[in-house]
Amino acid sequence: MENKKVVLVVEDEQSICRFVSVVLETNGYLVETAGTGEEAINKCRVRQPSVLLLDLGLPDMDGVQVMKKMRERYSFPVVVVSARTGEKDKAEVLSMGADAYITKPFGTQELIDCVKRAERHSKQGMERFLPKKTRIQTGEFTLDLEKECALVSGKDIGLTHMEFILLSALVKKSGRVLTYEFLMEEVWKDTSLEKARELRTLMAGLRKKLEENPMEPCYIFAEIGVGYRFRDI
Amino acid sequence: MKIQGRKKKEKRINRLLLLKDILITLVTLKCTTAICWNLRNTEYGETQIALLYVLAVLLIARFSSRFYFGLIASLLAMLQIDYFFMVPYFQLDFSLNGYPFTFFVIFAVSNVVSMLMLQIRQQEKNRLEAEREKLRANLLRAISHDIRTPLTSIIGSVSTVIENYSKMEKEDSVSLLMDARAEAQWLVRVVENLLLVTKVDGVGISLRKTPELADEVLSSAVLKLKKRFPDAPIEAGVSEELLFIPMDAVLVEQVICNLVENAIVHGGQVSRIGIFVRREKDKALFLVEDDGKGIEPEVQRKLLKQGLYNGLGEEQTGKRNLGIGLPVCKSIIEAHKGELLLSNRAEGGTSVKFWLPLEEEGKEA
Repeated sequence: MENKKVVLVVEDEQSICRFVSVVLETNGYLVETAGTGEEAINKCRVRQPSVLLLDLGLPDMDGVQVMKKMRERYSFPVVVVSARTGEKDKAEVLSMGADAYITKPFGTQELIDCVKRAERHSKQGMERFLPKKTRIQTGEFTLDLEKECALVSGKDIGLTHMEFILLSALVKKSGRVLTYEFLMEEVWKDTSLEKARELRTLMAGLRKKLEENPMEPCYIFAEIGVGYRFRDI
Repeated sequence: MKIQGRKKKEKRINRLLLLKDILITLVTLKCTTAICWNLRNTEYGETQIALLYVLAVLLIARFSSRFYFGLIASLLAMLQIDYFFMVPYFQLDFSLNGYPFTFFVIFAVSNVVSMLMLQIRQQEKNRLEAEREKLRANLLRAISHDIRTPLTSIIGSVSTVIENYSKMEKEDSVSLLMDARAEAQWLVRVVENLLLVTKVDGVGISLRKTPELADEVLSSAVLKLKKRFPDAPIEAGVSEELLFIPMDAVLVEQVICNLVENAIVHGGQVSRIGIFVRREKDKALFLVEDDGKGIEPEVQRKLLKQGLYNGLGEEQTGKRNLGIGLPVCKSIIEAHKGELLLSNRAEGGTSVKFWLPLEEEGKEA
């Protein structure tokens, strides 16, 4: 009886569109497709999807334009698909409101993970930011927003105030890549160049406290050249 | 912004060159004048003075980078001869006999030399261009081989499955499709490497260097590798000190991945692959080592000597080679003004070291 989530796939390449549809359908989604930006906007107007999977290279307009238009009106999560690989684009797209970014060529598993994660954001986004919640937990990790401390395997890892602010920013938007600028703004309200370095140093300290093996982290992941991501909760 | 930066840099270089040319001209002329001044009253006398000036002008035309400097120098030389060494001394007087002739000779010398220099420079440029073209052709040949083989296999396996869909055993078709997938993944890596080549090989190298933390780059590379080779015995470590290294992180990450992949694919029986970073004076040392079968010295020499493009040793055809991987790695590191060394470890296995400078020299905002 559970009504299926709708994913709108905006992609002009037929072959990709087909396999993406099949993959998503076998994973329990209902798939709508659109070949152009215009069509995508129209379809959204008729029926808002749960997730929008948006290719940036569309025949009629730049995918970024489409995303801007969507963001003005709707709040459903957007997953951007692109063949451009520069980290600059990545940061740009994320800061403009995309929830996730996936680069061609991608595997099926990667695609499903990405869509699921994005879908969860929209759902949890509401709940998680209710001020009631003071403890956030995942795996062995607990963040206590009231006492300003974090526990790993029941032990307080002794965060400084700055580290706590940084960590809670990441945890609150877990699963999403937060750009350096966003984090600097969050921690210092200052995005100057020196702060960029300070952020990395702060983050290195935080990761050392948090991760058992910082080389193979399981909580905070660095997206090089873009920012950081806390694991999905 | 980047283009602006490059333009600025070009401007700066241009200004420096101009300064150098002016300096060369002035110093040479000054010296000549000084020598001539001393010779003035000896038996060498005036006839030699003109010759010395010719020599000076010739030298200037040869060593200055702009071709009009030879002409300027010849003019200056004439004025000086007139002013210092012709009666009446210390004034300019163009009416003297033979003056136009001397002037003509000096002018002609400077002109001819300048022209020659121009020609030589052009030829040099052409030669480099031709070499580049040749390398490019080599690359294309190597690439098309690298691409054609997996494509053949993909088309073959997929068509087999399509044409015999109802007749085939399920496992057979799955294994064919899995082959196709593996080949396609190989293609992805070829294309990635190709993109790297275009990045590193651009005429104005377009490295976008930002200070990155060594452990972030390393851990990101390790995560990627673990995804691709879940069972690989990878061990990674960084020094306690936080190392900020100016680099194009995507490229360096790719280098690390390439090196580890080489160890996995070509190392034979590898039970341990180590990746470490530490400071060495004003450089960061990256070390990738394994305990596999090592690389034969012959191949080693070849791998590092060959340019970016001759990635394929002909005799390696048949098995998947080191591809354009290692030479690409080397040029990426060199584009960072770093250094890459390949050696066999005494206790067996390969060790690849590369160094990246920690501070950006001639910092550019």
